[in-house]
Amino acid sequence: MAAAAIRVVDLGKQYYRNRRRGSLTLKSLLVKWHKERTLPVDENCFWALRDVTFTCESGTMTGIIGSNGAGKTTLLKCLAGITKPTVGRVERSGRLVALIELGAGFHPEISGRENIFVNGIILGLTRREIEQRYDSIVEFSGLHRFIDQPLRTYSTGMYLRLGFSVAIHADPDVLLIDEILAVGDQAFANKCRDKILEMKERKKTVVFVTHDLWSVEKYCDRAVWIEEGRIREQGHPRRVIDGYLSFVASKGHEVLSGEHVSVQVGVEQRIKEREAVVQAQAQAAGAPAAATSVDRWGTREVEITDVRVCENGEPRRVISHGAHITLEMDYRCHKPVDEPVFGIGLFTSDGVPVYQSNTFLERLAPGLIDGEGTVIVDFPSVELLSGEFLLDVAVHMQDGYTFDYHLRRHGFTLHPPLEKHGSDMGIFRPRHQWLHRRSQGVATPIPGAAQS
Amino acid sequence: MLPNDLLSSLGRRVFDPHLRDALGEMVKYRLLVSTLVMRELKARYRGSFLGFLWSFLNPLLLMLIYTLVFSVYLRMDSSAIGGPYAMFLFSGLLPWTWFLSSILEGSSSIIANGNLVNKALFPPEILPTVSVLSNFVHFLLGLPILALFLLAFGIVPTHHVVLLPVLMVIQGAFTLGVTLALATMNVYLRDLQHILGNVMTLWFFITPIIYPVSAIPAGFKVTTYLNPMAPLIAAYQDILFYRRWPQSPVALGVVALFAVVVAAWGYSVMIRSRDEFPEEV
Repeated sequence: MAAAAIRVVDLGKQYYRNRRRGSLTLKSLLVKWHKERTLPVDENCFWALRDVTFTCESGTMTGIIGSNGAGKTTLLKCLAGITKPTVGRVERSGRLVALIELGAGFHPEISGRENIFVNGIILGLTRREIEQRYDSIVEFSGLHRFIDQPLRTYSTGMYLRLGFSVAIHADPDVLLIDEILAVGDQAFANKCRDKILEMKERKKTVVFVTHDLWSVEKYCDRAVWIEEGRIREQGHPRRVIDGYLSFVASKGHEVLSGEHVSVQVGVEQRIKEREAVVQAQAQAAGAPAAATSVDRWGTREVEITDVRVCENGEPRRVISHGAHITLEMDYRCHKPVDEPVFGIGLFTSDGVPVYQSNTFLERLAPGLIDGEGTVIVDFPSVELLSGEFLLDVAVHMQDGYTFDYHLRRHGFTLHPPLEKHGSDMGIFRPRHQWLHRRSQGVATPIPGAAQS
Repeated sequence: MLPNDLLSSLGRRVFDPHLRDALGEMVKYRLLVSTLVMRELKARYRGSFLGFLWSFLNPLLLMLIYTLVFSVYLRMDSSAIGGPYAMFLFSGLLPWTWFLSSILEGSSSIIANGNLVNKALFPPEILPTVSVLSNFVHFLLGLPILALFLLAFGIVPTHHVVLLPVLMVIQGAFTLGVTLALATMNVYLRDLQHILGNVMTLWFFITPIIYPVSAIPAGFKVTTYLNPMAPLIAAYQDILFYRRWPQSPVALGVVALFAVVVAAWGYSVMIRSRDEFPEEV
């Protein structure tokens, strides 16, 4: 039975709401004085983490996921011992290295070589240990030519590469990582990932905070989902991620694409334009007042009551590459409608259209609809690459008179085939095969590489 | 901890049960401390044309400026001092510079290295210690310059210099304690670093460095009794400039005791608050 590398018991961390910037200033003193008189004590504080209990067994990899501001980094800092919990406790065993910031103690004026020593000693290595690993550190960073240059001449990518190289050579028993796997270029990111996986194989314990749900699903033994400082779910990554994605979807599309602000602005602009058009149409047609919101509008004479993405008939938030999926939309008519148009639109999380179509464009005729029913779009094989996708669904008339339009209200996440590293790029992966024809002879499939 | 709690805790107990642990930790972290001191020393003049020579040039230039001011523009009466005024000045100014730079750098060291404090597993009391020690190295590098000047003025060092290490230890302990306490308070009340420059200027002028104790009007002599730096600086002047044993050994002994108390106090102030630093920095 594996021992616990980290055991967290009833952990809670409380912060003062109006002292977030820490230091005392005359201004904050006045604000604080006012608030303390007007707010009861417990509203003056808030729990960044509450009742957090979980265990990371030795040799396992745990992914911590959750929305921005959910408390993930605070949790990691508590695990590392950087911040002290208000209540509860954290038990750890073995040498622990926390990569919350790469290159702790780096000084811009001294050389990369000297910084390796400073950083290594801050991470708990001895001088001799650093000397032994020095060549390996430099080689891993790929910065051999620059190692005697002052650090201020390094690019951000080089800086992070050096920091990661030292950290990974600290040979910790427990490694805590905070969203820093996007280090340097793709090749270096792959190297980092391989190195972390190698640590896992050597029975080291890894805990990492990330928004990259794919890494969690692919590499982690367990996932912990934190929301508003509490554990919402923990256990098998796929189950936890599924729960998380459902939660995200229920909060609406703004969370899923929240990090793409510029796209968001564009979308909002479009929504406003459409809203104006739809409302003008509705008024012109003398239709009942439309229940309009930013992501849903229309007269609701025909209402889309539910939308499901199913893999092999089962509703799913996460679907696999190449799976047989169906998109099902339930509708309810408040009056009979002849020849409505059902439409779908598929978009990447940053708003790039992947596919848009409707029954009218495909010259289909649903005929007269009344009461309730379900329209199903059947995709025998979805050959999209991994990522988050958003859906538009709509029912309207051929002239554009809209009954119900759901803008990016639904979505799903596609996860890559497990045997692939998923490092090919794009939106769509056409079925393909690599062949090779040598000067004489016939084309034969290029064989697979030996797994390194 | 709220600032008023902090202020009340400052006087609560001088000797803290954590203190022994803290000193133990400092021993454990000596590699970290020495590495960071080296980092400071290397980084300070790196990239400048003269490089490490500045460690010698800075005290040299400082001495030349003070000589110019007090021997040419503002002529001091050398007869009241009993030797070349410039040399009297240097013997006190060099240790004072160590004290001053340690306090000015050290008091803001926690905030300046915020990313170490709140993003790495790092004992914060190391940072002010590094400031004191790296400035101590600069003080040591200034000593040969001082010696050269003294020799140039015909003041050959005598056996009294054996007391120098003792003075350094006393001064080091006192400086460390003050710096640790100031660095802690500065985390909560950052106005401190702005007022500190002025406080230190005042402290400099009320300490007999640019004038002898005898120049102080009788009614104001009390400031030298309350000022722990006064007997220390006087002892440096005695040893280096007058080439005699310190003239007020009792005062020096009191300062030595006081320095130990201040060092212990400074540590306990920081140890009691350090768990809050990651949130405050």
